[in-house]
Amino acid sequence: METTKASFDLNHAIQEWRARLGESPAFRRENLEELETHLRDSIANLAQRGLAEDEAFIIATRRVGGEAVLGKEFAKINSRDLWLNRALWMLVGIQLVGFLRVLGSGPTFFITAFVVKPVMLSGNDPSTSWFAVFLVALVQLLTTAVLFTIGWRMLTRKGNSAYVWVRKNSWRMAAAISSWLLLMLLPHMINTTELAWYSKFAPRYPTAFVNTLISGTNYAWQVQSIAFVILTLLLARQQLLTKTRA
Amino acid sequence: MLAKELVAASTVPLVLSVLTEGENYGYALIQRVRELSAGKIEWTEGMLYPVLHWMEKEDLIESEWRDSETGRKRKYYRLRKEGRKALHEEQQQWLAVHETLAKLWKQPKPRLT
Repeated sequence: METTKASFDLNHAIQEWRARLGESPAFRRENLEELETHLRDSIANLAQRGLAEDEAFIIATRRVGGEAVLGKEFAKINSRDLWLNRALWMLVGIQLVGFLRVLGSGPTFFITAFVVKPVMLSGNDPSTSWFAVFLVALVQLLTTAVLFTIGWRMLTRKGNSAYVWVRKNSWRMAAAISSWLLLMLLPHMINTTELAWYSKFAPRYPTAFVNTLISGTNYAWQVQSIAFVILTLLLARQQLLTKTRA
Repeated sequence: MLAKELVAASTVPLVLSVLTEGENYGYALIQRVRELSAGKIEWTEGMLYPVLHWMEKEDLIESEWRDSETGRKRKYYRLRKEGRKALHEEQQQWLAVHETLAKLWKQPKPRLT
C-alpha cells in the first residue's frame, strides 16, 4: 500500500473523475462544479478522521454515486439540454452521411470509368445493364458503410479524444461554423452578382459550392445548416452561461 | 437504511425542514440529515442535487454561488415562501401517517407478545 499512497495524486484523480462524468451530456458544467465541491468536502472530512487521501477518495466517490445512476437523474433535470444535444448529433450524423456519400462517389466514378464504359462500348446500354447498376450501387454502399463506420467509431467511442474534444469545445465549434457559413453566404445575401466579385477578391472562395448551398434546389441542406447553427449556438450559450455562473 | 421508495418520498420534506434552520449547501445538508437520523437515513449523495435543482425549478428554494472558507465556490440553497407552504402540507401528511401508525402500534397485541 505504501507505493500507491506515495503515487496517489488527489487533484489528478478528481479531475479524472470529473472528466468521466463530463462525458455524459446529462451534466451541465455547473452541475459538475457542484459535485466536485461536494466530493472535495467529503474527502476533506474523511481525511480529518484519519483516512489516507486515496482511501478517502474511493469512499467519497462511492458515496456520491456512480456515473450511470447520477446521469439518469440529472438527465431528468437537464432534459432540454439533452434533447438539444441529441438533435445536434443527429444533424451531425445526417451531414456526415451526406459528406461520406460525396467521398464514396469517388470509387463509383472509378467503376463507371473502368467498368461501365467498357460495357457501354461493347454495345450494351449501361442504363439497362443490371450488372453495371448493381456494381455501382454496391461499391457506393460499401464505401459509404466503411467510411461511416470509421467516422461513427471516431465520434462515439466514450473517452475517445474526438468525442471529448467536440463536447468540450462545442461553443468554439459553434462560433467557427456560424462564422464560416456567414462568410459563405454573406456575398449572396448582398447580391447574387457579388458572388463572382467575391471570388475574384478571394480566389479560394468556393463559388460553385456556395451556389449549390443557396440555389433553391437544395432546401433540405439549407434548413439543416440553419438548424445546425441555431442548435450549436443554443448549446454554446448554455455552456457559456453555466461557465460564468460557476 | 430506508427503503428506496421511502427515501424518494422523504427527501423533499427533509431538505425543506433542514433549510428552515437557515441557508445551507448540499454537503452540509446531507451531513445534517445523517447526524439527526443517527446514520439511519443514507442517501446516494449525488442524487440530492437533481432533487435540489428540481425544487429550485418549482420555486420551493433559491440558490446562490458564493465563496467558501476553502476558497472553492459553493452553491447555497435558501427556503422560499412556496417552500414553506409545501413544507406545511408535507408536515400534515407525514404527521397523519405517523399518528395513525403510532396509535396502531400502541395497542396491546397479544399475538405478538
